[in-house]
Amino acid sequence: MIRSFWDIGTTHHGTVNRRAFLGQMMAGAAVGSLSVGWRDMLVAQAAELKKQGKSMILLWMDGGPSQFETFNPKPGSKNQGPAKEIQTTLPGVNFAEFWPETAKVADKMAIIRSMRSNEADHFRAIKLVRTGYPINPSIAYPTWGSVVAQQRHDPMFEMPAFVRIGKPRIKTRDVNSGVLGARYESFKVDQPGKIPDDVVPTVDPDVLQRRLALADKLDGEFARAGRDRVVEEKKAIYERTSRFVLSPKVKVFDLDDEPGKLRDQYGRTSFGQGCLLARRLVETGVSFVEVFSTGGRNDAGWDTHGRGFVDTPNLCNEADPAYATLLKDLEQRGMLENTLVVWMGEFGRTPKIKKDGGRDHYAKGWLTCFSGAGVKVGQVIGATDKDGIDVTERPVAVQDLFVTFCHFLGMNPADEYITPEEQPLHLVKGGELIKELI
Amino acid sequence: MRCIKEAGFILLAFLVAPAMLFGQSFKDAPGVIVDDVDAVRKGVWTESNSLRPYLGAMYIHDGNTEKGEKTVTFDLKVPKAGQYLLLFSYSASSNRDKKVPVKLLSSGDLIEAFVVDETKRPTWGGSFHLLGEYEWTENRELQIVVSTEGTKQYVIADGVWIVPVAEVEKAKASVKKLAVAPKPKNPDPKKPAPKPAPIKVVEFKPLPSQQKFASLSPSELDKMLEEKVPGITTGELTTDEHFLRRASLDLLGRQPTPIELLDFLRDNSDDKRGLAIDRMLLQEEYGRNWANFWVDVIGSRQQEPQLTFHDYTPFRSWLKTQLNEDKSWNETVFKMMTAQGKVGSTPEATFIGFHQGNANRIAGEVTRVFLSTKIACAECHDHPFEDMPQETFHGIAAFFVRAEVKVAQLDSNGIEVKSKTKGEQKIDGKKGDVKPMTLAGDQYDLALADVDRRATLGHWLVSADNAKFSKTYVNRVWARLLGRGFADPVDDMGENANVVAPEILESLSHHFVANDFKPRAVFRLLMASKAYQQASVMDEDKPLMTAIAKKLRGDEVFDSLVQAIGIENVTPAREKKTSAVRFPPPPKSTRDLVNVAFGYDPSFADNLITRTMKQAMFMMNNPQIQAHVDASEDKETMLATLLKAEKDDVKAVAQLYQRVLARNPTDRETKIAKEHLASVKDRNAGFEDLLWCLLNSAEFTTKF
Repeated sequence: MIRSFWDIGTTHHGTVNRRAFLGQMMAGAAVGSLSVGWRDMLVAQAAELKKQGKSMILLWMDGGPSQFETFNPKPGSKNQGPAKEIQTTLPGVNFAEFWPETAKVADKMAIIRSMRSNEADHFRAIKLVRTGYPINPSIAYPTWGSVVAQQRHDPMFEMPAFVRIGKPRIKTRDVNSGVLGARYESFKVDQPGKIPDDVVPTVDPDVLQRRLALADKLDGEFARAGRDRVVEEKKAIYERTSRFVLSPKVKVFDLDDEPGKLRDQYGRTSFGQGCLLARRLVETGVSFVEVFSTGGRNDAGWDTHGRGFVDTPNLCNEADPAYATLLKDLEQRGMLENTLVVWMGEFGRTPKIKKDGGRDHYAKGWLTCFSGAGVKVGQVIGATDKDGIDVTERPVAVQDLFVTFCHFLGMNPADEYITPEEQPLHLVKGGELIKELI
Repeated sequence: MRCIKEAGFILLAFLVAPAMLFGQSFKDAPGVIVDDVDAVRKGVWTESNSLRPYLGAMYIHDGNTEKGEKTVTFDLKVPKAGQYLLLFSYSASSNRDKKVPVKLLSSGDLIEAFVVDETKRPTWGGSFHLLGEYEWTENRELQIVVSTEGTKQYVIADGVWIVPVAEVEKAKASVKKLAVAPKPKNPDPKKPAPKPAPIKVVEFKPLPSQQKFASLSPSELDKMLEEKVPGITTGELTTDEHFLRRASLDLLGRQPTPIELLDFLRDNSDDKRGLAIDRMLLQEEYGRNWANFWVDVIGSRQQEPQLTFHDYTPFRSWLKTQLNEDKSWNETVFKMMTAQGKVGSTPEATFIGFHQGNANRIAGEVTRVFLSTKIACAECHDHPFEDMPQETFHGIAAFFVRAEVKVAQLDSNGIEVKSKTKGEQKIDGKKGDVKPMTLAGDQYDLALADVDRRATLGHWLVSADNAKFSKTYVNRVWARLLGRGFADPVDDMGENANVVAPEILESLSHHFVANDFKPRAVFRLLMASKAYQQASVMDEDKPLMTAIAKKLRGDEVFDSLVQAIGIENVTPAREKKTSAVRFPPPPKSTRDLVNVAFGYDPSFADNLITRTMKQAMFMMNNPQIQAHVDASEDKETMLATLLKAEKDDVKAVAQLYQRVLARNPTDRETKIAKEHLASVKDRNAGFEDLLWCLLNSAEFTTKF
């Protein structure tokens, strides 16, 4: 019977621990009459958490971005290729030449150049880097956005807690809410600027209101016939849904009222407009937004095995203005201090260059970047050797990232949620806080 | 057995049919060719390449299901004026239909209707059958529509070709040239094609039992229940109209039609409820509905491999046939355990194939799904709460460790279950090979080959003496029909599970065994009981209650929408595989979209199956549904038709209730509806509101 609460509960850290639940159950009366005071308390806590809590934007470079052509160039090495380096606003820290705009905001970033994992296969690496757990055929671990959504669940908030913008380049490698179920699945915006299917009512708002009022009366009759629980659950969901679809906040998905100049700065690309939409969503209180960068030309995305000299600059050209403008835009609006922005992919690319400029998968010495939410920015953490082969300083593991996300989002990695199989899972298992970022 | 036949044909085709790979090299053929990948499909069509010859990379077939609902339309434009042959491509076989309706239309007008016998090999050349010769003007738009109306066997739609009469020789030559082209995979003529390894078919020989198993009558069942929970069978029986909706949803996966409802209400026979149950058990939809259920149970925990999308169509249609022929459940499950071959042609291989042959995963799922025993956590350590050492888990896995699965990219029908001759189950950090061992503790020798291992496990798994097997089946069906299982959640009857009234569960399972594991026998017993026919639930929070409200599963919601408003199952065109998009996901049909929103894992307890905003948005705003909430006189929607025919508002309200909720409105509901119509004034607008409300009602998506 613990299960009936499994998606409602939060403590000051965001999760009700099981013992507290059991305590409640011992003290409580029949399970069915879920004590109102208890539920209200949970709702109030979630709302409070959301208010204090910070949002997160994940910029996902789908396919695995190269270190050499992004934020860890190795000039003079045979592994660098033709991409030159440029100076950034951080003395002594250079980026690849494809990132002129981001170079100007390097002081708003903390760059980790020493990521290491054991997974250099997309499927396995995506599972690990998106969930914090290594692949397990027996448990579908939830993607991080779903974990955040579960932690921040607030029934009074009419927007979805977790929004995904853009599509993964290869759908069978996708990671979704897994054991956390449909409630914490991401709300998907395949194409930024276009409001997703079924959100906009096909009738005028007053007609919809009229129908909702009639439906309420008719459902009342079903409740009178003894099915009040069914009606109660339906009512709660319809109230929340109608608040969402009739909310002025739905306009957030429409980018037309943004100044044309700002839209240009983000870049008129799927990823550029996606980043702009991410800012707008966070502004309305959405807890977690992920934006997919795939270059838009094909389903290879950042997986540049062949034609690397052609494709990688294109991918960078799409991501550079979007990333830089997002950081500036958030800062100008005073939102950066409450928004954790993370740039990463599932791994990096091999130092060795193939003849057309392609690089294969490489999990020993890749990159992630952190900004906002109080992260100590303007620094580089860790390093690889002069040829970009081995991590020489401060190796960072994938689990460390997730522990650090928790820190900045005000969550406790040791908190648990209960799977439908009644298995308790920690938000994050293992890993250490990346102290340099604090 | 359809699928075994199909497997036989593959072998035959492999040996005697010339390899005809059209596709790329066929590009410069004269005229215009439209392959099935570019056709517009309505309903679910399954892609296959089992039987040559065919056009392009595959042909599509209707899976021999949902007859009449499916069509394929080939659109083409005549490039220049002239005389043309119209050719239709299909892959012939004896399991095809003899009377496949094919229509030629031009800009929507019927030009000619054909009937094609797809059991006969096409005579024009290759896979092409000549439909006729026509004179066409330039840019004339043609549609060739293949339908499944009136067919009883598989319908194939592969492609169409219009050939200018002047270039017929060239066209024939290109077909011929391809027909004699060498087999691409075996270019060396001296070396004979490798013979496929012989497939060892294991016969199902149920293990004998010394126990006596007795059938149960509905009244005996009621008596046992009443002793356990006084009042549970003596409450008011539900009304006829409500009984029919409950039973129809339970058996057919949809609410009854107004005609079925009126016929039932008018029926004066003594045992009309029993007769209705028998009638529905013989309807095709019964097998479809319960096949959907088992696909949900099994498929919900199968993770897709990268680059391959699971397509359950073959498995679903195999299960449907098994159920509609009332095949014994022990044999059906045995086949899943021992299957070898490709999922597309041997659908029973889906259980092992879609778990990618992962022995640990299969061990956990076989015991969970069919024995309600969760051993998965003993994979890594001794079970923390039960008396189950790690060896128990690995003993089960050892039965599957030599099954090998070849994963096909993109097309899950090509996923193949095979056998390895080597390989043993090992426990991390422990020495030695684990011997196959059943949960009963019987150990088997490592010398057993793959199929023998799986057959040994299969025979034990489904045996009459393995009480958990029959109990699991009846418990799952009981939970679906009456609302909550003796064990809840239904997949846990382990040591710590609280099984209520175990003696009743045992009697039910004995009834199942006594009736040779026939699924229909369980439905007949349960549904004829007074317990099933109770009007209302005594106390939802107490164990062993009846008439508990359940959410409809995704397929049930879709089929209820079809029944209510005649919603179409639209499948968008398949995205083409190109160098830019190498792994296009298959298109989602309307049924798929409903399943994404409303589907759930039936093994979960009810409190984990929540309503979602996605569901609410779908019913509130989905354009395809909303197009039916339209009473405009020029529309042919169910609502417009109803309102045109019925001018009396009160009667129209009643008909709408019958159509959507399969019951008559109460007086209070009629009053609410009348008041609403009066307040809105515009009759059509008022009724559109009412239909919208009924579709969005809590009741429409609930079985109670």
